Amino acid sequence: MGLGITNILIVSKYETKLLVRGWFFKVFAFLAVFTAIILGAIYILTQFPQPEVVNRSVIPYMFLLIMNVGQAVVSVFLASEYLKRDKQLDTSEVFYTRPLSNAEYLIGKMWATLKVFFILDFAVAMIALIMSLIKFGFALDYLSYLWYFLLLSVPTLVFIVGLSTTLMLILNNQAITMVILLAYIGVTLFYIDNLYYYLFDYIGFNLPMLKSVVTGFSGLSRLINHRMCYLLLGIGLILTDVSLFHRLANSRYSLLPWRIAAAVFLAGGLYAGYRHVHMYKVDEKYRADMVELDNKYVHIGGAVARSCELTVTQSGDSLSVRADMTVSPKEDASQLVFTLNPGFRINSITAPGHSMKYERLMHLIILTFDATLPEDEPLNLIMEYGGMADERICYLDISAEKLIENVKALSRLNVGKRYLFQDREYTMLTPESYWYPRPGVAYSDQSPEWQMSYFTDFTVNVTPNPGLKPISQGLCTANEDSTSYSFKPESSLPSISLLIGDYNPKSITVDSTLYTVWELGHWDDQFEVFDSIRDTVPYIIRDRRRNMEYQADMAYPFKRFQIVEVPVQFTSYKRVWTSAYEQLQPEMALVHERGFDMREFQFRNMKRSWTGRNNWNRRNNNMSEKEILVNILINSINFMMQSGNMSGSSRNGQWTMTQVDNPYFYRPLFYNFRYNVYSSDWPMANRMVESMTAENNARNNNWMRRMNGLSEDEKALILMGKYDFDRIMSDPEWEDLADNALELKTKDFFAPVSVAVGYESLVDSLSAKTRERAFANVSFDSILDWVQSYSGISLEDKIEAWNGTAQLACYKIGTPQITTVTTDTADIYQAEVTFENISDNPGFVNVEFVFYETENAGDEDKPTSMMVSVGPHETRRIVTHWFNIPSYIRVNTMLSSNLPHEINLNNTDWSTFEGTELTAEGVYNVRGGVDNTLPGEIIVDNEDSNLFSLSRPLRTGYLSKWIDKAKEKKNEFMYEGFSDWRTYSQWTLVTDQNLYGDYIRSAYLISPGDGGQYARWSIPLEVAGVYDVYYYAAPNMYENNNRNRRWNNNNNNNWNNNNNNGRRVTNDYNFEIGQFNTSDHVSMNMWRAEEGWNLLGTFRFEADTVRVTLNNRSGIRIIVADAVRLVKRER
Amino acid sequence: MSISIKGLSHYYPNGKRALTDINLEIPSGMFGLLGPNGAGKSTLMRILVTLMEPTEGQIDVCGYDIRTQRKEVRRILGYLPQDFRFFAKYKVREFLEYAAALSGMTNSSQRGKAVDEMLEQVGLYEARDRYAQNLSGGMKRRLGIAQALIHKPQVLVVDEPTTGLDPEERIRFRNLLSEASSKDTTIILSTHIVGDISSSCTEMAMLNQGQVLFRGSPAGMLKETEGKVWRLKVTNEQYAEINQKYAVISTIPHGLGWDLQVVSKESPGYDAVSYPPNLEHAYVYFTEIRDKE
Repeated sequence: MGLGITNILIVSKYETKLLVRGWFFKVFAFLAVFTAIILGAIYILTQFPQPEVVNRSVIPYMFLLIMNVGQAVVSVFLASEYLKRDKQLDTSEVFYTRPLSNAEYLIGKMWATLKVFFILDFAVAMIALIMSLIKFGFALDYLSYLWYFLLLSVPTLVFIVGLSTTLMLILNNQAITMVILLAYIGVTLFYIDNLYYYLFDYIGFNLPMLKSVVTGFSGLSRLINHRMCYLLLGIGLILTDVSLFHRLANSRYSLLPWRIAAAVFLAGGLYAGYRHVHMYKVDEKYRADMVELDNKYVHIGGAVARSCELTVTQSGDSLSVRADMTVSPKEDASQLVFTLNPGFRINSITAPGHSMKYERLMHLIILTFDATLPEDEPLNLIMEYGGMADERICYLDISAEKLIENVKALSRLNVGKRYLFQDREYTMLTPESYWYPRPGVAYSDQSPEWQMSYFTDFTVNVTPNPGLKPISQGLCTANEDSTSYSFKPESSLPSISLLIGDYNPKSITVDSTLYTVWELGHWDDQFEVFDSIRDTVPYIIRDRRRNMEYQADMAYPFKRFQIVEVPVQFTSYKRVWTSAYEQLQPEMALVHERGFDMREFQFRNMKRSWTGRNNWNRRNNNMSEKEILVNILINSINFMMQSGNMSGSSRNGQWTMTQVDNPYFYRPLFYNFRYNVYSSDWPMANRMVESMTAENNARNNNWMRRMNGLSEDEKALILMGKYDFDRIMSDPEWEDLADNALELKTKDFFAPVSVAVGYESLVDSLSAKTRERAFANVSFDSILDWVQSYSGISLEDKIEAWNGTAQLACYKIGTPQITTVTTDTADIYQAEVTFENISDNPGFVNVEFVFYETENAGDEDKPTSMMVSVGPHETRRIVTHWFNIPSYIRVNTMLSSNLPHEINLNNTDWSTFEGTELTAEGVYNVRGGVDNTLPGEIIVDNEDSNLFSLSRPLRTGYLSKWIDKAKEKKNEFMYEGFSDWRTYSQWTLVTDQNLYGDYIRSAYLISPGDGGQYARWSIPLEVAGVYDVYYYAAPNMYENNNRNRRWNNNNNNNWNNNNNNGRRVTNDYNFEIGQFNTSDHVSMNMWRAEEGWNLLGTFRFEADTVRVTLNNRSGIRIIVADAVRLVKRER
Repeated sequence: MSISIKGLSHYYPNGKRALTDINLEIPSGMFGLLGPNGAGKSTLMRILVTLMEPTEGQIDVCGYDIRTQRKEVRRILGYLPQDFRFFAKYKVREFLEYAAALSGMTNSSQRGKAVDEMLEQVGLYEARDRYAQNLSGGMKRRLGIAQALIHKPQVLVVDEPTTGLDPEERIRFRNLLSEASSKDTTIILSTHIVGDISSSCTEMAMLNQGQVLFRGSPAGMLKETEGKVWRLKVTNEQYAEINQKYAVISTIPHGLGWDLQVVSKESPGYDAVSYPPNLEHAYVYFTEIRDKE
């Protein structure tokens, strides 16, 4: 084999000269350095806020990640260019006849390519380093520069250079090689993502690589294995090239060792790839085995832990724990099942006074007693265990796909996911890690029993490694030399956490509550910035706390609140049975180190940003530094009062807005960690009571509905009408809708009671009832019993119908009537609204009479909303009396298929009458149903599939057909969103309360065009005669931005636009109205159209079908095809 | 013998036969390999310089087996390919240094000295910092011979070196080769230009359609051609007839007819007179007449 390093270096030296002299490389190198400088200038040298974690250790990641993508592409070109040159030019042959070996020549060439890119990477990293040094001084994580170079740049380059030369040698065609490789890179960047656990991500573009300042990389060994896979494959391919190279070897057998070496490296790379997938598969299998075991034991030996004293001793990486517990069986039992992290080895389990055997099966501990333990009988247990916690037990209920999903922070950085940490320097064990024994199983997909949690009286004693501080819930006392600590919560808690690290506390006591911020490490004191407003901080905290308590309508229940920093990789998941995320624990919030991805906790940056902004706007804004700091503190506390953020995503060209929960939303601190309603049969019991008694997040706003096409509630209803409730609750695809489904279901569950006693009254009483028992376990059965005694209504039927497909009702809503009756004392306004349930299912409607000024309602105590039950094919009228006309009536149709599901009936559209007598207030059964049509009137709506038709879409290409088909398949919800700026190339179905419809108020939209697209209403006439033809317009919905123009238009009657062809087009809708083969052209100026029916003209028709056709030739932004009405004129 | 070729045959993957049973002994000095385009010269050259593996046969270069001892062969070999024009972006000196380094001249100061001497020798010293691709055709060819000679090879293989050069450059180039051959180097000069052989080679072989038609000295080749060259004067009609039957190698207008030189084993008639042959006549005799017998 005899590899001559000298020859390799010679080849590399001269080939490098060639590379750097090529314009392609010059341009790329210039761009790379230029981009690095610009990036550096933006991220580091300007006021652009940047998390401290990034400044310390992640800057090289950002820089090298961007660089890596660029060089992956460029190196493909350069590597293949090399061989192309070799093939065509005779000058290469004079080198081939030299005595160097093929390996020396090829490796020299490859090394030249790698070398220039490595130097470029080094230059980019140096730019980042120098700029970081200028900005932040020497407190940087220098090793991270080396780590990211080794993990990102080296394997990527070696692999892509090896692959491109191999392909080039095999295909012998540079163009094909380039196309294949660029496609491969494109697929890697834009499609592959986490496929096969990121196996194919050779660039490391999606691979989670973010480095915590505290705990470093997450899963470093897996990361190294993944990168080794590509490094070895790359080397293997380069060695393969030695054999493929088109030059006779120096001797007949000289290639054999290279072939063997190539095979070894390729096999090594493949093995690393296999190992990568295998490690995940083993984990998945392990998790599946745990679930299987859980399923087996889910029904056996349930118990409640009354008290639990945990004595923890940290020794190096390992923990040893003694748990002194008092548990009570939930029913007579001879076996009890506990869950403990499977990484912990049990040393002993004893139960004084009881003869007992135990078995450890993965994460389960099965205690078997000789005698049956009676229900609720206290049992003392002492468990001693220790070792290293295993992360695989966390989130057994979350799918493997979800677990592997990437977390992207700061728009591109890929953060690994960690659920627990345990090493010598840092330990974080939240309840999800099962770091202490808990009765019951961890998860079961066959019974919801495992979801139950109960309040326990905890005590935690900790002896940490020297120099480290422990954090847990409760009052902390330390021994004299601060080597061991004890935590005693004042009340029972649903769970307890333990964090041990180099924590640096800052505390303040306000109104006898201790507020502590625990910063990890001593590298950057964020809270130092507030030193100058130290005197003001208590006032701000007091004020914000009052605000929060007012909003929650509850007092903060704990004696302390701690913000505890945790490594950036800490992640949690939404659970349907609780609104609490793992980030919030009783008394504490776990926040990423230095507020990594949360601006609200990056105090130093926020100050920099605000000060910069202040300086920028100095003329208008003269905030002092103290005012800025006060604002920053208020902002960060207010962050906990936001239930979530809007997040937009695009799928199949359809833009969807969703509300992403804020895991730090304060409610669990006030509610979930204080109240617990449990039920073995009803895992959702606690969540149901919570959704009834705690204030609801405003999930359904109209703007979101417009954007998404349907509100979250409506989407949930569509799913509830199709699928079993359990499935909706458990399918990760619909997790965003689970809350809505649960709230809708809960309201429907309690609806009979709401009808009887009033919704508000029920909520108030239920809240009061729940709050009687803080920090205690309350059974759901007792709540149901109370409901029955309180309202006289049994909810047994509802319980039986809980799971299964929802039986959706369907309502026609009558036009509200207002009758003014003048009495001796005042004018009374009698408001009436009628509902007809046209379905076979019973349902409820919630009706709210809204007054813009609340005092207008008259009687303060009179409820303005009421819930009404409407049976199948039943029509009910609500009659109410008011001192003023309600501004509008908000109708929520609960479990129904009405779209929109909630509508506002504005008083401008109501029928008004003068009357002399009042009908008594109440709900009346009415005969004959709701009929909003007048005599002699015929209406055809777009929902009438027999009488309404649309032109075919213009696009006929196979690809677009395929995309359309895929889109259709994926869209569970049929209706699309509407936005002013979107182009609708084909007729698109939308719903809105301003549109016309019996129970689905929908219409089709299309962007204007050449008139080739049309919508047609075919109206069968039985009687010949003269008819007025009306068109239903809803300018309020789609002409928001044209309101001002409409106003202008009134002053300037000749408002025209030019269309794309330069032809003058008007803002008219263009109709053809006629019978048989003749028609008349009618246009309607939409900027002058009124809401509702607009007269198109009067025509004489025979007793045959009338065709009204609307085409898409117009200058207006959007064309809406909704409903047409014909009204016969009396002679 | 410097180079010994025995039973050499070569077939291309498409089955086309490039060389058939070549047997040659090539001594030190300048050896000419003459033959028309497509005769197999370049294939033979490429096999000799280890760029191709022959299908059959045995070749020893200075005692090294070309199949099993390629590295040794390459160490003593210099090669100037046929179309030596396209350079990568190297300066003249860099290119030569690279070639020298790859030939085993690892000591950089010695290498630098050798490179400068060689540049002086081929008259490119003044152009040493110019990019090679910017040199004239003749200069490029000189750079080519410089890279082939830089490591003082025992065997120098030069393929069609003078094609496309102007007469002055051609003479200069031949002199360079002659100078090299005087240093106990075996030089194989492959060419289809007869003048290259006649002016510099003492030994030669003639190749056509992959076979050796002649092996000997240029004088020997002339001798074999004696009595086969004829001169005659003919009319237009007679010229057409002669041209169809014989290999006409010279036609000069003469009054109303033509003064012709014809290569033929026997007299073509028309009062043809025998004419003393030169190498060009010999070349035509061997390729057009003997080879077709």
